[in-house]
Amino acid sequence: MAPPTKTAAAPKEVKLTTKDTNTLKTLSKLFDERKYKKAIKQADAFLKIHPTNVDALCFRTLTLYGLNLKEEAHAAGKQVVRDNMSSFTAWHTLGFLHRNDKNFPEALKCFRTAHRNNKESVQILKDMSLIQIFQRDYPGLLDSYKTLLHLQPGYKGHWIGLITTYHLMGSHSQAIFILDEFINVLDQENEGIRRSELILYKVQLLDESNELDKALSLLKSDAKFIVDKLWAKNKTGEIYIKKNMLKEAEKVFTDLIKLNPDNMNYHKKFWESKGIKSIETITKEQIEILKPIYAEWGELNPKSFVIQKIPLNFLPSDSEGFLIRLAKFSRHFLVKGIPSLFNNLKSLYNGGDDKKSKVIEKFFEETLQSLIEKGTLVGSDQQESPSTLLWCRYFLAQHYDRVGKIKESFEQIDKAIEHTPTNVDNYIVRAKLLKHNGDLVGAAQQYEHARQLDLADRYLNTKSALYALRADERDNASKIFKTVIDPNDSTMFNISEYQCMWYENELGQSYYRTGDNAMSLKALHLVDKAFTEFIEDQFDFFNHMQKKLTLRAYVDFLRWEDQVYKNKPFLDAAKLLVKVYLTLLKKPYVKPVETTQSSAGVATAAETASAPPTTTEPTATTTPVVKENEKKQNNKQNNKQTPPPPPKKDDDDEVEVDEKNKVDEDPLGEKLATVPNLLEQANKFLKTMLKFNPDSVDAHLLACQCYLEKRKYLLIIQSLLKVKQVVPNHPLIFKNVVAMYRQVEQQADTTDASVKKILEDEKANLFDGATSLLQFVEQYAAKHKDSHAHQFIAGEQLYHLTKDSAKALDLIVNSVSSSATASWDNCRENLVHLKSVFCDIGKIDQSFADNLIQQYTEKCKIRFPLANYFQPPKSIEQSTEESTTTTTTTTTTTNGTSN
Amino acid sequence: MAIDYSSFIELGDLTDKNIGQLKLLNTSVLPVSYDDKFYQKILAAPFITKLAFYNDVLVGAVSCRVDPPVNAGEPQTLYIMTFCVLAAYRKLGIGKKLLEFVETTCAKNNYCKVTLHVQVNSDAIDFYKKYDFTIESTIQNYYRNIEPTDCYLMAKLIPVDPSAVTTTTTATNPAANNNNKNKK
Repeated sequence: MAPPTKTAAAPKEVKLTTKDTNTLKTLSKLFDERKYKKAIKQADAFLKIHPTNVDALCFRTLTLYGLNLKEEAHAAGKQVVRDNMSSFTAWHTLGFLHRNDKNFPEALKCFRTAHRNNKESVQILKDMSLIQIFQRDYPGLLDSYKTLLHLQPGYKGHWIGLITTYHLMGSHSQAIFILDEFINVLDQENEGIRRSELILYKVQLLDESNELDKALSLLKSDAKFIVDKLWAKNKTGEIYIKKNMLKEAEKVFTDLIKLNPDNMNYHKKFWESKGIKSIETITKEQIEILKPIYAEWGELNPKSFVIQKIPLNFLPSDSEGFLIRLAKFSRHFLVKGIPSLFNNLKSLYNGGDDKKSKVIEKFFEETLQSLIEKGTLVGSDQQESPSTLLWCRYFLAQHYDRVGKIKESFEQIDKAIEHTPTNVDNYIVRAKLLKHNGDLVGAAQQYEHARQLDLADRYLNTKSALYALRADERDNASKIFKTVIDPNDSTMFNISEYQCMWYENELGQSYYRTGDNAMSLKALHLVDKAFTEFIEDQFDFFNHMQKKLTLRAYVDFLRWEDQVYKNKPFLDAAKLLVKVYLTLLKKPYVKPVETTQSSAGVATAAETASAPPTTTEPTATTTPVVKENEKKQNNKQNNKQTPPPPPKKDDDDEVEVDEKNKVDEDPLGEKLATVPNLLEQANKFLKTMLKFNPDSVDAHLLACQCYLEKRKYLLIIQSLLKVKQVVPNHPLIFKNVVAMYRQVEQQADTTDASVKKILEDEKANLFDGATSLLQFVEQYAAKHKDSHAHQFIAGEQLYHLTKDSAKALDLIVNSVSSSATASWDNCRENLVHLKSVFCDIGKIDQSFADNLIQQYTEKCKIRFPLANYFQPPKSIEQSTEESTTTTTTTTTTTNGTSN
Repeated sequence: MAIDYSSFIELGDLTDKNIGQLKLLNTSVLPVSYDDKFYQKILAAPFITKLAFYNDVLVGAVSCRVDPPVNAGEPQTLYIMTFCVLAAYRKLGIGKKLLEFVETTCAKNNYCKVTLHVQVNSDAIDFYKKYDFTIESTIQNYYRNIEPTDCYLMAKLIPVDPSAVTTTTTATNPAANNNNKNKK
């Protein structure tokens, strides 16, 4: 951000000599060159002669800020304002400080006051307008642009600003009116892309204000000026659909598909022009319409996966066409050895029935048989490459995994490995199979094996880090990840710098799993930080847009920004953040035991026994190396922090406040975990989550927990009703209802009478016909015998209600083995919950708690033999021994890893 | 009906990034195993390695060493240290392509002879004979940990341009010129 202008000397001041004015000019120059130390000396010297000169005082303030003395700068800035209440420079300066502190509402206030004191300053208005866009203060923004135009009527940027403001406010007709004036009067010399952009922007405005005929005729009349022909054509088609001119629309999208057969949007619009809303709800008649069209297109575009695949989506599984298409589609992948066949067919498994997956299974089993026996594909006499068999097995392994045939899936991938041990993709799939069955440690090792085969592959490098994180081997993950990022900085710094949100989220989850809530917060807050940066990106594009006239893209961008918190990475981070805060509320942060080691040592101490990072290290030498590196790095950082005595004056003068040189002030997340208002912190994320994802079941359920802490019972009911709409039988609805009524009973004296009345009335609705809480719980447990999640929660609540440990234990422990719905990962989640919340709040009997955890773990171990989480922690020899047996079944590959 | 497999076969270079694949290939196919030191040293001269890919998957490889001339003034020779093709991918012309590479290398650099050791019961003997290698001698107890322990020394003479013989001592090794082009 540029500093505000230092225009106009202060009025009513002692008249300055030419020399003084020159000094001020030098000061300005020094400031611009970021030579802050020299600047401050100059300013101080000047102020000795003119102690009340506002300009000099403001420069001094800004320089202090530049020197990173933020508090002093603010104090100085405020003082200047206090002494010169009507000085616009003083207010402008203070606003600048706030803006750079990202305190935008305050900055806006200051800029407004500055503007009131000098209505002629363009710079103030420009600075103010940027903040107004940022704050979506459209009326204010409109005023700013109008004033700017009054001051500089010939400046095009102000016109553009005015037009987009009207557009964003929803006054399309005004925007169009001014845009026309602008094009006719001011911008006639515009040619090429700039002219094209303005025309297309007008089309967008007309389209949005439903002036469809005008939009169409503009597209036609100005066609020769339009550069972005594809957008124009696509828009024309869309408008035809809006106007229900389906024949015309069909022609447009047919043309577009010819140009680019792989654009799914064109296909979707084409279906729409045929009266087909979605491929999932297609009718028989509609299938007959599409069939010949796609048959023809298929012939014309043999290389377009999209065209080749679409018929598989709409053709019914029992039709002859489906099988023929399937054979044709998969042949290409098998013969050429393209690994993504399964990924391409995956969507066919999603439909409500499993008919298609059965046809696929039969087809590939027959193909496999034919390849083994004759070396040919079904219905062909052409000898295939040996690799065709490999890729067929490779596909089948993934298919069996998808349909839950664990044994068969491993059998196929192991045979594929035996056939072509050098195929890297084999190991990727095997790692995936292990992961799906809960052997996260084995999966990480398997993936690392794949990575070692091709160290130049960025995909393998990142994915292997991901697998390590999933196995809670964070040190390993960080080591692997250093191959794709700057290895000289810490991983924490790098992921933040690169906005690598998947890593941040996975890291947060891993820390949470192993009980390090503070570090979990630290990782997850990095995701939030990245989103804040996305929001601030808005400042960067305004000037670019003014120059290039990319108004369409700019408006789309601002609209995207409005919805940015809808994105999954934020939702994921926010959900876990709330969870962690709620956990910390029940189980406050405890400082880890101090070790003599530096940060690396603490990190290892924070690891739980389930995944000590050193056990996975084949050589013991690596750990000290890492520590040494870190130490070096710390030294480096320290050096940068305290600059050495200046050898050259100039160098010392240029103080750059670089984020990179900042020392991590909260390396363990301690500060984040010990804020006094944990619930408020949770609430902050909850609010954003619910605002942008009002239909998220998880968000509402987390909200219930927060509301329970705050005793906002009516809000709980509201959220639960919302959840019921989406997932009527969600087990957590039950949990929250019971928890709420239990709490109300306990705190009956202090609960508001009218609230109690409502809760009493709602009972009939929420208790499923039961008359008491206990009856409700027992009835619920009996009703949902087949669901693991329901049983688990029923047992937990029963214990809270009756302290009947035998019965609760029975429900919770047997939920693992008795129901088909249990999966290793939700059992793991339950176990984490048992350990971190249920058994840890000190309110339950210790022997019961120990017994419960032990028995639950035992049952999980039997049910999910591959899942490491339920296995006891291994010693070093055990784990390496294990790895060779689990990693590979063929001797060849074992040699490959152990050499 | 057979298809032309040769269009699927491509030769490629060894790099420090894909050396893991070569190691895995050799361990899978060869009865003799080599230690990490072996794989570290073959990346540079005087070693020459060529990899064979089938549809982008490594299925065969040859590693050679340039040996000094037997008598001073004579041209250098080439010794094949490892040569293998995955069992499933044999008889497709992959070995032939690798051998062609070896011979072209010899011709280019005036190496007058290719030699190799092969276990006396190996299927590979027929393969080498097919390409005009002859058995020069039998060495007893050549191998230590595998049975049978005897091997043949096989060789093939490469016609050399006599005028170039004197320059062979300074001939550059193609391995050194290998641009370490990355496959992905």
